[in-house]
Amino acid sequence: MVQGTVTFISGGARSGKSTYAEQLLVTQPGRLVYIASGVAYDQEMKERIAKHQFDRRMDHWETIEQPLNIHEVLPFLQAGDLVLWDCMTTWLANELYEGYEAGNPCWQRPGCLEGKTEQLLRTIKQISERVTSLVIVSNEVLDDWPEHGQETQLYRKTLGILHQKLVQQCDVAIEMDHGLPIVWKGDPL
Amino acid sequence: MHVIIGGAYNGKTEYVRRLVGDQPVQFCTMETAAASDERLVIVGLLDWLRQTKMDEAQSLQAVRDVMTPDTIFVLTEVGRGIVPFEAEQRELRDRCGRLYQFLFEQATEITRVWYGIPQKIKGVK
Repeated sequence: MVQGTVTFISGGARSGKSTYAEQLLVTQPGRLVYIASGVAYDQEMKERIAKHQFDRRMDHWETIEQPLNIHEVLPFLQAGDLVLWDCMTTWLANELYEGYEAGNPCWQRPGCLEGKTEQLLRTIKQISERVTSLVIVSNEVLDDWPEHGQETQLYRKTLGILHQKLVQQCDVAIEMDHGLPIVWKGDPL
Repeated sequence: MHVIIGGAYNGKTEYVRRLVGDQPVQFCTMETAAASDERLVIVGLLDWLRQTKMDEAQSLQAVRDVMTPDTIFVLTEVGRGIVPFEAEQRELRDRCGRLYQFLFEQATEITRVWYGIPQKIKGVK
């Protein structure tokens, strides 16, 4: 079986990671698929999403809104697809509070986040077995002062471990620094 | 002396384990560091600074006393974020940053770890 390429791109806010990720894919032949995990809860998020959509207007992207349960995108993906997932940090925040309305958010349920991250890593592997290229965008949030509430602490730990596993599992790993890609692993196309 | 630095949960300790291989090493904190035939790997500097009764000069001297040419210090990056709201935490963050600067200056080798991948930033041959 031909294995698709998995690229992990992480960076700070406004580091140009999404733009760089898009550029990696639009230069290749194939259907462009965008997995969006951000949810427009308020006006600011609506504007941020609109800005990302405006930046992608020149190329034709099939967009899948998937704030939770990334495995649900699998039936929509085809051989040859060029897939961009933006981004892992918003997805993890969504999963952290999944069940909040029912008074029982994931971060308070024993083993819940571990289960979700293990499933995600399996999903990424399954996606890569089907498509040509998968680019995953995430954020650098672990270089700050470590005084946070319990749920944020759990979020940081889960994200860090997930990043480590993903960097191990992926073909290319890039840290974006204000538009400058620093390649830690592999060769970007 | 070798410094390993990286963000929280970036696989720094795991990297040190790979680096030293079968070599006998002793993972310890500043509180538990003692003269040993084994190579010392010192972790948890921030937690030590937070609870120590020593003043800054004394804590610096304590680090000097423990340090040998083959000691490894594992540092968690803490200075790249919003200024903490509480004065006490700002003071601790500054103290920690100054200790890190001292260790960077003393180190013959510094390795930055990003999710398990090492990059040598000082002592590059």
